Amino acid sequence: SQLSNQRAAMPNIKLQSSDNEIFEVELEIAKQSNTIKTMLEDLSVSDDSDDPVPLPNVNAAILKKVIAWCTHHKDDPPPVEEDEYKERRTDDIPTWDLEFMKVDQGTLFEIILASNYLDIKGLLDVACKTVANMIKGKSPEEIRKTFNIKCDFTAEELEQVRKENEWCEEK
Amino acid sequence: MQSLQGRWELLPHNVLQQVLCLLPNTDARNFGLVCYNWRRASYTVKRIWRSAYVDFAQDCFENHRASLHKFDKFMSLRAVQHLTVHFNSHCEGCIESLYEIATACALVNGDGLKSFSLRPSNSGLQLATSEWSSCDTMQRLCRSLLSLICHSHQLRHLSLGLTDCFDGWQNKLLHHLQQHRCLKSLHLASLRSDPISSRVPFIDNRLLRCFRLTRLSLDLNQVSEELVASLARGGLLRHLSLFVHNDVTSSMPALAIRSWAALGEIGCEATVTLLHSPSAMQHFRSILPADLPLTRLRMYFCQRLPPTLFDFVCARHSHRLRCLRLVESMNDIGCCCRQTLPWSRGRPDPLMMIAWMCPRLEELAVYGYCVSAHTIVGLAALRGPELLKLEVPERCLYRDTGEGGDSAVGADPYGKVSHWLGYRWCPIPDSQLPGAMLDSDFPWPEEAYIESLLNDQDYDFNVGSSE
Repeated sequence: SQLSNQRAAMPNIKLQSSDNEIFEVELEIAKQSNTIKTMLEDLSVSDDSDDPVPLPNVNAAILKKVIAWCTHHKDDPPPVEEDEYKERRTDDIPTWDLEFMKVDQGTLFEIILASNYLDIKGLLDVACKTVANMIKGKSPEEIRKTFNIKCDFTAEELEQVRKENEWCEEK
Repeated sequence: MQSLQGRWELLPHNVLQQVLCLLPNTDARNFGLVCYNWRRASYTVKRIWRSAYVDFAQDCFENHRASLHKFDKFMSLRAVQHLTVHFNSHCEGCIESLYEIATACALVNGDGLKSFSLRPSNSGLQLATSEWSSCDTMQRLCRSLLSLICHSHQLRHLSLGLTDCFDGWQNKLLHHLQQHRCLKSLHLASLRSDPISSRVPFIDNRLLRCFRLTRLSLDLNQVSEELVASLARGGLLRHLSLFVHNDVTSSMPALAIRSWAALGEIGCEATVTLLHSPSAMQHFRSILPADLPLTRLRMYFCQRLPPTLFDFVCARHSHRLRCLRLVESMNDIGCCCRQTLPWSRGRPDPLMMIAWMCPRLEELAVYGYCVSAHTIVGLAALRGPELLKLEVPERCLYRDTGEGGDSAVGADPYGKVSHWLGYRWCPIPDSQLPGAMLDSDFPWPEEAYIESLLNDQDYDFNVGSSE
């Protein structure tokens, strides 16, 4: 009965990665993901259900990282909506997050996709800031190199793009 | 999702947009140059897409159709504040596209448009179909442009590039313009060698209400005493650009304007551009009255420059003149023919005199008259780094062997010029000269000047943003 009491105080939830690994997480931590939160509400999955929530878009390695981030940030105040069109700062990443984001590019990419899919605003924010910092001060060619992107403009598009850019210079 | 595997170009658009929001404008623009998908994401960030540049100048109909399609796909017209359309004014398809853009913009942009510039490839509209004034395409274009102008209440800048298309519609255009309280910069000059506007009175007293203008381009024969007086009273005009065509007669009312001095007193600067006007040269004293605050004088294909012109300019305008540009065609100029600038007997070399007498001169360009290496070195030594531009074509430069000129110039005249000017100087090679300057029978003489004249009429972002 002591065990069940503990459960009531801190209900856990099971998450299943794409490669079928099961992670048991505190419900409050998992609920930082809006996707999981809505899933639980909509499907009225009961809290003490033992069925794992399947996350077919996230593999175990990434899910582990995501859970680590959510665990560290479980007491954060809910994120505030910001003006979409306003330029925002990127130099305000907390030290813990900076360390957390020190991963190879493949992992960073997966974290972005996972946080986008799981709809974890805070994590996506930090990841995007990390990407923005990788872009800042670089030429288009350097950006392509950094992210291993192929320039897929046709010659005609490139000319158009060059002209457009010439004209959107804010002098 | 596994299939994306590190393919950054395929990041979801909402993520790309979020990254974009974190970037300053320069980086955001570089972001848009990375690949097609990132480009498309960048179009949703309005702050970097305030301006649009549309280029229909290709000759081929299919091509500019494609670019119109791309414009639709690439750019949201809704957000555009500054629209510049470059088009081939001899191509019906281009004019059709211009019509479509103007119509679309009038529909979706509401009154967000702050500047609108047309950049025609040639100085006039010319279609394969016979009479353009009766042509459907032209009528529709005119209506759509008028509707765009009419709906853009915030319009600060309007440059028509050519006035042809408004032939017969001037009344309507003027009617709309006088409603535009924000209009600061207006360019209605005709850049043609045979201006159609000279046949039709274009400007009337309604333009007097536009006294808040800071920049205005007009044909000289459109200027009246009332207009100049009204602009001077308005006190805001900073730049007046006057175009002179060959139809100047001494009886023109513009030549007897008394208010030029008042314009000078409010700090306005004047540019006078003469296009294909040999007969206007007879009246140069009236075209360049002493009271006119002349800062820039440009003469294209005027042919018979009177020798006294330079004496007159030095005597009357030396204290303000900053730019002098003389352009003639050069097909006769070779090593044997040395047509130099007209030179009055007993007077100094006109270029040296200008450089000596005009303390503010920063731009001097002479095409189509022979200039000796000796003179070039002299000009550079006289003006030094203050002379920001010194343009002389290579084929017009000769080495003066008489009067010991050669020894004074030395073996490396360009080096000497560079030394005095403080930057690397060399004459303009033939390859950089427009065809119209090299061949007097060139079918489009305006090629020699239309680019730079249209540049003058572009929206001035410095002025635009400071207000």
